[in-house]
Amino acid sequence: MMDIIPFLMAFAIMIMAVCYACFIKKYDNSLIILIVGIGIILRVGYMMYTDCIVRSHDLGELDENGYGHASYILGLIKYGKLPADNMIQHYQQPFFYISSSVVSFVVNKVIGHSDNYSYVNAAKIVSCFASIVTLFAALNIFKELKLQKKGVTIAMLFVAFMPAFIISGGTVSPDALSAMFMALIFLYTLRWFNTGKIKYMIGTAFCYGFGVMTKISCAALAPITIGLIIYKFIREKELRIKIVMHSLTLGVISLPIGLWYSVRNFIKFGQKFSYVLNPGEAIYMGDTSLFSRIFMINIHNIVKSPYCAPFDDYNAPVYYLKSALFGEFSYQVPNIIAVLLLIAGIVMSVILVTAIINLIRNIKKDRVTIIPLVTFVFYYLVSLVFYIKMPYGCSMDYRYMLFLTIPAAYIIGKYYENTKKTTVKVSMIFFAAMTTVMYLATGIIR
Amino acid sequence: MMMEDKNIFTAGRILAETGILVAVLFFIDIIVENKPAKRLYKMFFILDPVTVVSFLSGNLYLIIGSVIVNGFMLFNIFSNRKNYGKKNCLTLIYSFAGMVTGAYGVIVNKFCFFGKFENVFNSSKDVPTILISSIFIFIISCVYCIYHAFSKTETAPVDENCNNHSIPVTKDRKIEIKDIVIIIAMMAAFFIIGGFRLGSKDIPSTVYKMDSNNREIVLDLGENKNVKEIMVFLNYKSNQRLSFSADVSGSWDIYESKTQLKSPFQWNKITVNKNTRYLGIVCMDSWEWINEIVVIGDDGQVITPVNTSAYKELFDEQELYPDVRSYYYQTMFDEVYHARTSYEFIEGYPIYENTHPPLGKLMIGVGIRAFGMNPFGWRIMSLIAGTLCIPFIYLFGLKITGRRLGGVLAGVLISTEFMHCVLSRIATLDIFVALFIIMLFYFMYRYIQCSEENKNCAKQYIFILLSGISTGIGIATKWTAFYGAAGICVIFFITFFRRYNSKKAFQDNKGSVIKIILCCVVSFILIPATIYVVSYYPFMKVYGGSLIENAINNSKLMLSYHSVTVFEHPYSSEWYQWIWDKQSLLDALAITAEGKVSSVATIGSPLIVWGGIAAFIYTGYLWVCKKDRNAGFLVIMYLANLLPWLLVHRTVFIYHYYPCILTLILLIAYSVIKLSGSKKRFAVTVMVISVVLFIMYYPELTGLAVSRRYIDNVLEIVKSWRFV
Repeated sequence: MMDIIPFLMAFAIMIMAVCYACFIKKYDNSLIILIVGIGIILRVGYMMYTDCIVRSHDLGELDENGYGHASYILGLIKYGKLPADNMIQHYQQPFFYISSSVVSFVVNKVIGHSDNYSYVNAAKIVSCFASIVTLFAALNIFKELKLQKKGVTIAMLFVAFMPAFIISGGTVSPDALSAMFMALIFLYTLRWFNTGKIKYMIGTAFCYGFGVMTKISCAALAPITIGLIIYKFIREKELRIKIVMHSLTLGVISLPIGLWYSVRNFIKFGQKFSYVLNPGEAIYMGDTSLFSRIFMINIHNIVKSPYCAPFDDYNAPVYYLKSALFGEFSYQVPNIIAVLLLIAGIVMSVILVTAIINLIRNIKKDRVTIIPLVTFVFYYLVSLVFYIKMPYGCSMDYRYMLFLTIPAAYIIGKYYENTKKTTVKVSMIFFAAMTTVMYLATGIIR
Repeated sequence: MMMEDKNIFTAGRILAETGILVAVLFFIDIIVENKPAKRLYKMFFILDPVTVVSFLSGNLYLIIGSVIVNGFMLFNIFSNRKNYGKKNCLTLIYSFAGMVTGAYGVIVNKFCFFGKFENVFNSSKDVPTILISSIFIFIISCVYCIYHAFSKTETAPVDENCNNHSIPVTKDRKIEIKDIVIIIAMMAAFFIIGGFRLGSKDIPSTVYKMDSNNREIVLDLGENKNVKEIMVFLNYKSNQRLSFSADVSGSWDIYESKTQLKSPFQWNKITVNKNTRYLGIVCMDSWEWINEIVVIGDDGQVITPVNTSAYKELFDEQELYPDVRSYYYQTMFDEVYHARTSYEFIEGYPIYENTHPPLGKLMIGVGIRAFGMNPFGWRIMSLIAGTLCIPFIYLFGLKITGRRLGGVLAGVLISTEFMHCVLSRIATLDIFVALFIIMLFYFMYRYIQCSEENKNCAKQYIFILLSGISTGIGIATKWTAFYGAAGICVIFFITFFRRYNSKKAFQDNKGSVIKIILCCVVSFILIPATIYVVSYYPFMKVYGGSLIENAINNSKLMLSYHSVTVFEHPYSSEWYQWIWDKQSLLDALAITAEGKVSSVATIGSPLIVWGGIAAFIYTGYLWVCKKDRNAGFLVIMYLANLLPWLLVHRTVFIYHYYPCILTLILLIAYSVIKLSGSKKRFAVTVMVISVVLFIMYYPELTGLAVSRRYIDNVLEIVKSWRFV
């Protein structure tokens, strides 16, 4: 069924592009405003034309008596209580569901709907909002990492047009919100590291608290924060007491906010802190070799289809690439659009690898790149370890590693800033264009 | 013997390959003076594996691909013959490597991955990843090669008027008396030639009404006779169920039970093949209207029942049953929807065809009101619309090229274009919507021309207003006019923002900018919306409710219909097939007693469609490399009418390409005038070819009966064209 939203999106993008080309081109940051603007249009548009039941994950029945994301939210709206059990998705941390239910309740009160579908559908607003906030957080991270204008433009292109952000922004699941908190954690940690101000440490603490209250995996950034605290502690001897106090503040704020639900579930149901739901044997991939799953790049799998096959695919790098571009879904769009986006994604991956090698080679000249480089490598390894521990198809879904996009974008932006290679610029524009075409076409052809 | 043939064939191919290679090397030797570069270029061609593989495989497509690769490279070398720096050679290596990789990819796909080309543009599960990637690499390399070729050799000073990508223009050329005379002559010629045997004015018209009280017809033939078939000429209602039976040995033998006769205002055939005295027809639904029934014996002669007085209306126009049931005497193709619905509008009957807005059918209705409900009546307005396209195309050609020759060329090309002729002779909506699409672009071009020459504002507003009105009428005729509207929107904004691209320019002209914006809002939003809504008057008359309510409800229905309408059709085609005129559409087919074929087929003229591809590439080059704004206008116009079809996945037909064909005519006219300069020879040659082709194909466009041999041996030059 075709609707008007994709056409409005196209029209809005066109108007923005024309306004940029003709009016505001000369002003500073106008290009970044354009990129962020189009990024927002894509996220909001995708959210609006995609029903909550389309391309969803673990949504379950639209009924408060179920065990999926939907029942979690509906239970909160209708009974005002957290789930009484920890079955299926009810084991999840509650912040996304609480915020979704509040937003959904208010929105539906305003528009006068009170059916289950409307309640669940409105919950996408939180994901979309989180995806948009992540854009701004990324922009500030790049500025904090001293990326220059051209580098920021390239990096923002990567973040704004990364399809995984667009898809997660239109899905009823905590992924976009947890990515937002991770981005904010990274931003506030950097700000604290650069300025040493307590307000940034408090910001970091709250983000950790609410992040972990959204998804335990937000704690994966803790080693980066701890590493920076230790580094600062060692380097700045006169500030050691202050740093210790700041660290205590971080713990005092973040731990209770972040872990109260885990403690509650541990007491009530004996649920372990690191508990993850078993996705089922149908997508078990542990019977293929570790080498073929982790270290090899499965070219045959790339050629076979641009879309993921969660029940068959086992090769992590290719799955990361495909799920970053299309999620775990197949689309009705013409194959040429999907394949061209896949090509753009492959080109970006090659550029990213080249950029990492280039930045490592020049690390002595530009030490500021160490933090994003380490963050990228560390978080990538965390994702691989997660897949090794949980060898299931869906463990490779890029939605669990959305945050990785931000350090990756910085690396590419920095590489472009250093080398000024036209190839990078052209490839990035191609990537952005194909993402736009893909997600406009997805709205039109359904 | 077979083996011997194969060896000879292979040897022949190798010889041909060697010949081409020698020619290429000779060519390089002539054009390149720098020795190292000469050596490098020669090396490319000697080591070119694609050429070797393609010629040895003997595959025609691969050979063509190889020739394209070599052609591009030679073109690049030729363009850069004065710049033999290191960078040029490297660029050549990059683009060469890309092309070869792309070509190899296609070969690998063909023999190893078996990806199908038709899956490139649909969403089937067999994704031809290798094929798409290879084509992509190939195209990117070609673009890179061309870009490099032109970016290095560009030395000519750029015309001051053409210093940016804004749209257009050529200096306004006044319309003279001579132009008007030429236009009238062309219109008259087209009206006469296109109107030849347009349709009969005499078809059965008296109506026999069957209903629940009068459900049965029993025909008494007087004695037992061999009946071959019954021909039923339906009135406007179709798909009602009728049961046909014959009295055999004293009992009724039902040989067609609950048959749905599908085509209104057409002779519907029911096969009988019985020896009987009585024939029975029973209306199985609530009612049915029949204009005439003809009973045919096994000798092909008409049998007149003895009890015709009981069914006077069914047998009072027997002489109107034609010898050949060709398009001339009845509805053809989609006329069964559009002509019928026009008639329903006139009579105030419930509306059958509601998947397009009503205005086009109201226009068809004007002809029906004037000449009656007969083929001539329902087709005449299409002919008038087709004739009216000629002045607009002529004027467009004249204004955009700035020369009368441009106008004449465009006028001749449209008058002799195949699809234009066919669509001007059939009561469908496409000719109407195309007329308004061409008008909306023409008026937008005129507005830009006036505004760039700073002519008085009133004239500018009038052109915007006319463009808006054309948009409104176009959309109220068929939604495809939206695509054209999107095209002028892009053109308008580019021009507008180019003009007021600085704060100063904006503030200096604040008043006029606001006026133009207001004028646009009125012209492109209020007026089209009003026209669209008002066009629903016939709906309101039949169904009640308000105009807006009817417009909204039917628009929703249309949207859902066009989003999901996918059905099998032997003549349906995809948008990429239109570009090279692959699939014809047979509108009508009849065989005469002498075995001659009278068929009407919708196809594009090969000159326009194939020549248009070259013209589009050349015009694109003029826009991108020479900053030619007229070329930009035409390119956007073409793409606006074509690109939306990439996203349309309903069943579509070649006639949807018609607005693009009109644009191709302008592209050809513009390219020919640009290439030939002051000489007329090239333009005259193009016109002559177009006229000759038109004469050749005229029978196929107008349903004139010709021998089958002529169709098989002369007209069906493309394998997939089917005229019989």
